[in-house]
Amino acid sequence: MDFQSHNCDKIREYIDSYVSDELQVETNQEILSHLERCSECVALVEDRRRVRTLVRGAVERQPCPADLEQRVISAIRRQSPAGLSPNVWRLSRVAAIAAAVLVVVFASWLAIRRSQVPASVTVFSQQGLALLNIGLEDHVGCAIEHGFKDRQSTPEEMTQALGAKYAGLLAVVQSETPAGYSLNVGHRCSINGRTYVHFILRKGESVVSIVLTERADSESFVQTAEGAKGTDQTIYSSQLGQYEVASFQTPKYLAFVISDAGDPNAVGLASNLSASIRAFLAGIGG
Amino acid sequence: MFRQKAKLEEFESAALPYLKELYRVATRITGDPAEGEDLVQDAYMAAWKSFDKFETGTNCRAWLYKFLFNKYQHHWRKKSKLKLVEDIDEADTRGLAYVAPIPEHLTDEEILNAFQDVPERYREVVLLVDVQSFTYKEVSDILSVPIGTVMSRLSRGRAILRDKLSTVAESYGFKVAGSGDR
Repeated sequence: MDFQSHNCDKIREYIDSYVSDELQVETNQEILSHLERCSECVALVEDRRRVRTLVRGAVERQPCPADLEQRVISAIRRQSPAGLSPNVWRLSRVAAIAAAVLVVVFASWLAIRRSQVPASVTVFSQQGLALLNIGLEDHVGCAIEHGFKDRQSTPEEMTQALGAKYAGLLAVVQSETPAGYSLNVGHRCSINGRTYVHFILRKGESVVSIVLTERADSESFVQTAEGAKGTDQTIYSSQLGQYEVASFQTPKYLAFVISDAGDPNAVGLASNLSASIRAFLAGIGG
Repeated sequence: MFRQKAKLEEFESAALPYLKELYRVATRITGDPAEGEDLVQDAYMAAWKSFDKFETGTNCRAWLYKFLFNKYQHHWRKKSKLKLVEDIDEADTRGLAYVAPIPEHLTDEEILNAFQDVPERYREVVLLVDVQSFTYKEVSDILSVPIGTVMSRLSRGRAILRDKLSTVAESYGFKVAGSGDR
């Protein structure tokens, strides 16, 4: 495929697929090279993206009837046979008791774990906020604007997209995914020249990103005003616009959890993740 | 019985999170909120009936959409006596001297009205790719059409929509000319 010449006609056949991220890496690269030199094709790409943004926004903003869910549930339940047999009632009581015991055991385990949780510090300094923004950029650029929040990948697809180096993180993130959330996306992405490892969790309308990126030595919370109060285990967090961003650092990485403010608790999730993510990264030299 | 109850709860927790988006898509396909509601309910009922064939862990979202479009295509689409004719006018805006810009400010109503004017077969693909971010492969599976068809319908749909959006400004032409410069 030769896009070296100013052959816009050829490029325009691929524009729609380029905008939808459906091109092979090599073709994508060729398009990018052409776009670096051709302002007309850039305008065309922007135009396509604008149409997409407009229609997506307009459709997503449409209200839903408040009782729709209830009506669908009622309709489905009317379909299924009602009532449970006596044997089943007995079984379900035993199951309920067993479940209650498990909950108590789990709660005490959790309490012990929580007492070992690293401290968390709210970030106010420009320097610290700029570091939090590194993770936020990927959440907004990739999950929100690029629409990856609506994708759903299989574990095999995620393993492949993460690559050999980071594929092991899939199990780590899976085990810490909070109740009710599903892990829908795991991949590497690149925004503003920076590469990220990116996971996306969903529950209803809620979108959570877990993001990792390699850090330069100068990119360190420890060197900020807040860092003076923290240890290298500390979770640094702040609300940035409508998002809550929580972050921790390892020798070679910055890790972030980004959520819609308040739901779920980004700091809590970052705390839960930090031990196992640190352990994983230590294993690959960072 | 116990298994049935568990299966029902499994279905509800797997499928209900997508209800709102499916409703919105159903409304865009049928063009009417009340019909959208009926269609989405039908789709969920059909999906529940087939839930024992669903493999846990596979793509529940795409699976549900397949029921939605299946229901629509087989039971809902107004059967027209005229045979549907594919648009043979493949001319796009390449090489045109002037392409009207899309207005800066568009209301949701304007956008959705323009979108509703896009022929159904193109509108479906734009909905699935641009609004719901499905991959070409997933769309091909949901609509039961080849990937090449998905791609050409997407291009055409986007171009038609773009065209309709750029004509929204014309309806303001008179007001702008007559506004406040006396």
